[in-house]
Amino acid sequence: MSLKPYSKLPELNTANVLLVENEEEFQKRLSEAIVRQENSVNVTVRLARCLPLPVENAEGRPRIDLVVFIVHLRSEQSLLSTEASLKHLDSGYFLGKVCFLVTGARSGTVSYERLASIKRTAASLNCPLLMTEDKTTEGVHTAAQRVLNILKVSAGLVPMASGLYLSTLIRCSMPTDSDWQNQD
Amino acid sequence: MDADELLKNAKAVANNMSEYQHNLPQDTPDDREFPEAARTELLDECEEQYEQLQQLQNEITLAESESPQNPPNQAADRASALRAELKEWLEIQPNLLSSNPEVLLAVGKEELPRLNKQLEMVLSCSQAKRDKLKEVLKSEQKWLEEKKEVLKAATEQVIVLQQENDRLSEKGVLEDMKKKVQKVKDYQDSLLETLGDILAEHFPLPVQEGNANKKKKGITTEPRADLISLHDILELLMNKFVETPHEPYVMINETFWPPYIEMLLRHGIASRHPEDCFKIRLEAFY
Amino acid sequence: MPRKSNLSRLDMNSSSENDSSNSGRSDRSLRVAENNRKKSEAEDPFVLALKYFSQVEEGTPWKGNDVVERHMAVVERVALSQGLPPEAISVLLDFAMSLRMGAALCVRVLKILVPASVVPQEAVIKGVSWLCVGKLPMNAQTMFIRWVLTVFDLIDSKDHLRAIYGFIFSFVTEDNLCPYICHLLYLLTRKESIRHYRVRKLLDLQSKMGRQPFLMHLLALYKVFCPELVTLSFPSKMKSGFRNHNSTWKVALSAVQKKNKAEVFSDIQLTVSVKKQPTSKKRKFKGHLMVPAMSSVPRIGTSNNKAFPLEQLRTFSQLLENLHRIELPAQMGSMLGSPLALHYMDCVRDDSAFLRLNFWLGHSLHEEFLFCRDSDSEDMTEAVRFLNTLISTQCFLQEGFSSTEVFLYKFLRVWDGALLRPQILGLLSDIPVVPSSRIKDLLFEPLMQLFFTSSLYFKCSVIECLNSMLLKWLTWHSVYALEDELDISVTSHTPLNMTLSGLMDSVVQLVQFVGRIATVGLQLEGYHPLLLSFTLDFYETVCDMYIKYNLPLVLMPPAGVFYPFLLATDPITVDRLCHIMYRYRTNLISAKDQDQQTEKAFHISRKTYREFNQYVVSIVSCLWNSRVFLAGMGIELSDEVLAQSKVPEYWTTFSLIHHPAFMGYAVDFHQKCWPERKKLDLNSIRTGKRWDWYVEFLFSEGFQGLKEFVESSLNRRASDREAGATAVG
Repeated sequence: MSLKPYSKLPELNTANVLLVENEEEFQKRLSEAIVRQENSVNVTVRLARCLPLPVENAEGRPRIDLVVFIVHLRSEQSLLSTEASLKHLDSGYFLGKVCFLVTGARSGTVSYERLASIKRTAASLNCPLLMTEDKTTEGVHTAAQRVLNILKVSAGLVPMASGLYLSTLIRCSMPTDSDWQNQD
Repeated sequence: MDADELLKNAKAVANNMSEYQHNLPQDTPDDREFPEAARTELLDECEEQYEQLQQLQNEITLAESESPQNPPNQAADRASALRAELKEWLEIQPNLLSSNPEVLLAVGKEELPRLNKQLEMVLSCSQAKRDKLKEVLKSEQKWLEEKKEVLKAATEQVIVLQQENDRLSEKGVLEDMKKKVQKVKDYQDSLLETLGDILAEHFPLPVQEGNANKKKKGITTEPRADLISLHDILELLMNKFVETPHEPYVMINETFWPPYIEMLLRHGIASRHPEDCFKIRLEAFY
Repeated sequence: MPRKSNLSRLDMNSSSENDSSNSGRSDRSLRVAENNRKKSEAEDPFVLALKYFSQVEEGTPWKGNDVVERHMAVVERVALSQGLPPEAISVLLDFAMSLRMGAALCVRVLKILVPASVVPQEAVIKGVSWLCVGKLPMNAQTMFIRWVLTVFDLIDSKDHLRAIYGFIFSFVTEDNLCPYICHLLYLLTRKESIRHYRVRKLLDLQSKMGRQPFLMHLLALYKVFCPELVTLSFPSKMKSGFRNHNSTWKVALSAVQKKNKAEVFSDIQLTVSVKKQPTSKKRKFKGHLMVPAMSSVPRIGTSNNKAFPLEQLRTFSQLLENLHRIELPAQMGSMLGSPLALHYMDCVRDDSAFLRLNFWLGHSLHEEFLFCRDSDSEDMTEAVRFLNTLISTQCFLQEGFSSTEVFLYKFLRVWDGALLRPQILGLLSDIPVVPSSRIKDLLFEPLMQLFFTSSLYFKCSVIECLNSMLLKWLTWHSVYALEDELDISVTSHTPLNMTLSGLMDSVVQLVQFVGRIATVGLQLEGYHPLLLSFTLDFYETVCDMYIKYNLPLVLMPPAGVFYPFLLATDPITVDRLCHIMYRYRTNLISAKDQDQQTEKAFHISRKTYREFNQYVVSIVSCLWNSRVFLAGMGIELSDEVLAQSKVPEYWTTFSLIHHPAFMGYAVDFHQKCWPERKKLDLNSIRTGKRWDWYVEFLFSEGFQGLKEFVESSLNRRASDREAGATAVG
């Protein structure tokens, strides 16, 4: 059963984000940073390794306003797992309620192909793709802040802006850059 | 300027508002209770909104269960969603906060301190900018001064050189040139000598009887007796090159030992005539 | 060229070492003394190992040879923990390259050849001669050249290496070696090394191998030195040219250098100069990110013995005296952070110097920030210092390096918006004019993603960065544009030639981009005064483009920016808006005059005039005539909504008296006029002479922009309190 964006009533002053990460190494730190930073709105962070989410918890699960996929370029598995999880998401989510967090793009050791592949996926779904420095405290803090910025819009907490609107501004573009060539 | 630095400044200002504290009005004591009537009005409005929300939610559920599960089409979905949102924006009427003066007063009271904080940020940011600009101005002025001095020094240098140039006599220049020519000639001689030594030492002619050390034992023909040395070959090439630069090619004959020719060609010291493979020339090393 | 040798712990009196040290690198008497002192160390296993490697007979078997294994282990341990002293490098390199114990050991030794301080030049020369013997297997050959490239900055001097340029050059024909050889030649090339037959050879190779980036880069350098010999034309932006070469040693080398920091530094000091340089503080070793120490190539026996090496400059006056005979350092990177060197560079405008500096920079930036293996380090102080040095260098030279530009475009795509933010934005504001055809891909797209997802402060910083970028473009234009031919080369060292219309296209794109992101950004941030303030800064630049920078262009802000300014809650914003409108008027009028006087003036579209006049009417009707929300006044609301609001005389709510930004002043004024009045009646300010006094009162409070606007754009009618807007067009 796929996750639907509008199957539940929203709650007052609340935003809920779901972090999906196969490796479960970054999501915990990120969720802590997100909760620590936000004090004007109730933010709940839910964690998952992959989609679909277990049916038995469906009843108690609040409405999810934003689904964040964490992709580690260091691992092929991370990419594959994300691609698989995407299939279990209602298409309504792709109208501004999904974003990708990519780690390790600055490292020359990862293959450019992998980055291009996740970019293609994000671009074809019109979703934003954020680069993250997951190794440093500042990096985690920044990622948390950016996720929160998107979350607040997609949860309808920012007047005059909707998730769909924001996503048209920040969606990932198809990787065409020809002069992007790492040295060997 | 760094934003974090900015924020830090803003906080510092917030803590120490002495600069403009004196012309701020006194805080009005907030002793009046928020009137019951206004509260009820707001709550009623909330109720109304919530009901509307629930109604919409029901419609969504209904629509979802009714619509057949079409294979999702990303682009089309997105296009229609965007169209719908655009339509909504075009038709929407601004919503008034409330017409109840009590409510508006409360909102205003909340708004003002927030605005105050924001403006404090602007203030501290402007101060930081001003300080930075002062610094930039100072360094730019220093830069300009130094540039002027460099220009002055360079101009003077040019004048000095010009004067020197004028002073030089023709004879002196000639003398100087002669010395230089001599120096170069000496250098050339020593180079040739060294070359000769190297060639003599490392590039002997093949010894006539089959040499045991030679790898290519299969060579049956004995080397000729009248072979000329590598030294001679090079000399021939060089002389030809200098004497008749328009026709630098030298005919190869049997007195040239083929392995040496091969070596010269392979290492780019000599090159063959494009049409006549029996002619070679010295590579144009200039 | 005598060099004080680093005799740290070696007892080298073996014959082979003496042979190789024919250049007199070490002082013999010093050595003897050292010998005695260190006799106790004679049993040091490391010394023994080196002795073994320098003396071992050719053809000694290595398989199952425990002795060699034992010695190898010792050497490996020392190499990877503290690095090898110069003499050890000589011994081991000679051992490896001579293949005395076969190719396998050769490669193994090369892999651990991590210098602790410097690499003796003669060791490298000897290595090259072994290369010339031609017995080395290919992998060892490439590895050797890659090693030389890796330690290039650590080679104590390069004059002899340059002397054998021809020998090194002859290896370009080896397909596998060619990329690395080209790189090495790139580092060694001087004007004297360029010969016609070498150019021919490279062109030959190029026709055979295709337009390989490494060949192109070398040829580009040749062209800079001798443009008459290379008639090829090169694309303005070349791919990064040389293959990564230091992967084998990078980690070990940086670890060793970090550890030996202090020690290495003093060693370099020894070899480089006697006195401590005034700027040396800036050039300390920065882990693996270092600005190399300065050393130029001493020229021996050339006629040009008057040359003054740059690194010996101490004072500004010395620079002035020797301006005509200064020699550039061998390692161009060392010029960063030395104001004297930069002055010189700026003065001579030597293209090859720029090219070499650019090349070094591009390589360093790429290695450190885009190719960082496992950079877990939170400590960015080294990187910050490096980039700050770069920023101040660019600021000093008043132009950005093209390698910085190329780096930034790549970096923006993988940036999280926080890492080294001040530095990255600082560098970004320095980039030369981006052609309008590529500006969207290179700049706008990555910036937009970052802008809309990041904090308010980031948004402000981006607007500030783009403002200073625009300022620099405009300044370049005003400096380089020639009156008669409106054709400009924006900077002298980028091959980018840009026409006036090209520049204008880019400026239009940039201004429109900021208009768009500011509109949406303000909306998302709830019209935060801080963002308003930064946006105003930007438009203060834009409104004066014609008069201040002589760029025939007038661009109005979009409504999404203009009205938030006008309806802002603080008077400064409104005042600055008035000032900006005043400047727009001045620019438009001046352009119109120009238009009528001369033929080559530019044409401003009717639309611009219309927009401007509409805005002026909006301001006047808002602030003066109390006609906000009425038809034709810019902002309109439906009557029902206005009626519902129950605001009495709603059309006066944004007049100078009731505008939230000015109401405080109105109350003040009211109190001054009628100190005894108990009841506040702001409308009484509108009657009689009071209104004029009130306006004067506002001017006296420092609202200069308001004053400029009133004096230029308003024609007051004496009969009533109405004012008309003075239109332009």
